Amino acid sequence: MMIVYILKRLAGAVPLTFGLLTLTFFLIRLAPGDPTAMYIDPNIDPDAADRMRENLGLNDPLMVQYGKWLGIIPPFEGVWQGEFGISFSKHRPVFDIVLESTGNTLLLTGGALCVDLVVGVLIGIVAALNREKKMDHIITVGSLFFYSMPHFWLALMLILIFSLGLGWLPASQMHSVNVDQLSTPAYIGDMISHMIMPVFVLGIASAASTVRYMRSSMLEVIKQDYIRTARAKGLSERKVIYRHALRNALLPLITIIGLSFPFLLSGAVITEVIFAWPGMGRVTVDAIFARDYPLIIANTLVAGVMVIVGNLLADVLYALADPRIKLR
Amino acid sequence: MNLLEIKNLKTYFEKNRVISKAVDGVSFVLHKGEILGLIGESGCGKSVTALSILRLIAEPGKIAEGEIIFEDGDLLTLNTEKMRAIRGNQIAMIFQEPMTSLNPVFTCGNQVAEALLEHKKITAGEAQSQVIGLFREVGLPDPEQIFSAYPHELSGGMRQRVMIAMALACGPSILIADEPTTALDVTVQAQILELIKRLQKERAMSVILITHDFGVVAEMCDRVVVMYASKVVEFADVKTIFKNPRHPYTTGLLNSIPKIDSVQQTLNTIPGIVPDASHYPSGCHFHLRCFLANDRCKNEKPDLIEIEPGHTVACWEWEKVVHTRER
Repeated sequence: MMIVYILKRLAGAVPLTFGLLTLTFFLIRLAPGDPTAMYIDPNIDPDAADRMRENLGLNDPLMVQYGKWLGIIPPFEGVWQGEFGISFSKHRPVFDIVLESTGNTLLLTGGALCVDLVVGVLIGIVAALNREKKMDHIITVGSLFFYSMPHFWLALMLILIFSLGLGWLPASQMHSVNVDQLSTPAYIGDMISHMIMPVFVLGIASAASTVRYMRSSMLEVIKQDYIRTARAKGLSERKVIYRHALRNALLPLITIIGLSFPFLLSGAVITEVIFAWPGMGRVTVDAIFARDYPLIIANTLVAGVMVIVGNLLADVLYALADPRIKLR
Repeated sequence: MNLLEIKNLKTYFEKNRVISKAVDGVSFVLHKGEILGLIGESGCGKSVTALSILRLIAEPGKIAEGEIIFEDGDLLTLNTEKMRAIRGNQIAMIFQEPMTSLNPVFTCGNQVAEALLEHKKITAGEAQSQVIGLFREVGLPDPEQIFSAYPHELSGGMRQRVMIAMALACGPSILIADEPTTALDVTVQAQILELIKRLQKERAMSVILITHDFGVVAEMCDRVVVMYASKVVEFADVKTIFKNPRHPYTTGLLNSIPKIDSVQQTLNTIPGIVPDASHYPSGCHFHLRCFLANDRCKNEKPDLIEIEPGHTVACWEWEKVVHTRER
């Protein structure tokens, strides 16, 4: 039944994704500026710029451009044939560019999600178990501090302290310059040292909100009757909390993590730009500034698919964790 | 023979510097192999008394004073580990709400087996076969299937049977049943009470049965503790309570049982409500609702006195109390 449900959801995701791409197609063309603007300087022949526009097919009427993009006007191949075109600014197939950057972004957001979950859940439990005590107040203030801190500011402060001041961590990029000469363990170590700050910046704000959710979820659960039953059985406090209470307190969190995935992705855009992380975020920002239409659409597709799959994953996990939920 | 003796138990809740005395100086004795009824209106401290025995009082509640003697030791002085070894093992408890008393994310079998695995040195496989045996003993149909069923798949009556199986798993000498049938349909109530009575006989257990229903008391209990506003007001065997009650609160409760052959059209009630545990009246806690109240009742707290062997009552005017119901 679970398989049928997943297939149904995926089938429903296709028109959704297509609608998203179509919307993006028209919206970016509504934005002022055009892809040739970056080549225009006083020394360029205006005719040359127009030829460039003609070559890129930007002089066609909008609906013709859309038809070509869809792939319904032969001999042009479009999304229907799985062809997303050549990047205007990088002169390479957009899919090659996206493939390179998506893995890097997943590494960053995956790491951030781990920070979010581990830090958020553990500290949330500590806060709930010390309700209204000193520890709880410290955690509340701390989580509000990190929650309200803008990504870019925190990132700059970390670079200031740990890269420029103490010199412990590299300030940008994903690898050191001498990466080619490193052995495998050294290569991984090098990458981890580059990851620490961006992952922390990206993860800590969502961890701060997870702490708040976890705290209230845990407080809600520990006053339930079945927790009293577990104690009346003679179980140790550790088993009562980590087996009986935690499993129930985590349930609402699954949905929240699924919902926080888009925020992680959008946060990744800023974080990647600041730390010069070669991920989707930076590629997207560059593509938008260059009005590189095919690349923007390809990035929208990847981000859209990630959000849809993230939500589907959350729903499936919820059904697996809570026997009362049946997916249909 | 005394199995459990509660001496001068005081359990207080403190919130915003206001102290609520939920249980204030309760004493009674539980004999081996008897069913002891604990009766009173909601908010009289029955459940808090029961939870105090297992030391399951949740914050901000605290047992302020008293002794709970079980097997020559005071439960209130045991360390956490020793207390855990008694909970669910020698003293077990079932609760009022079978719908919410089982953890929704674990199977019924798992939750019952957990009690066995906590206290007995057995393997998971042995625990499983014992749990299935217990399910059969408490009258659950198709025990193998219910072992792997989740609580939401069962009815209220079946869940209460699962709770009873869980409580009986380790063969406790005392079962505390806190209004075990209040949340159930009437027909199911009778089945569950019968089940508790049968198991109590077969296993020679002692049961503390908390209820607000004198019908249940008459059906089930050997002796009865009547509680009102944090205190024991009358304590006697079940026959005496029904034939010769000596506290005006007891007679009030007895009179409020509807009678089918009664000529009168209205139900008998005790006027007023149970006072708030943070603001008890001076003197006898019951005097504001009592038809016999006089100046002495307003100012002086009556102590429990033994008026005949095995019958104690806390009332200044007990000699004037005549039960009129059977007249």
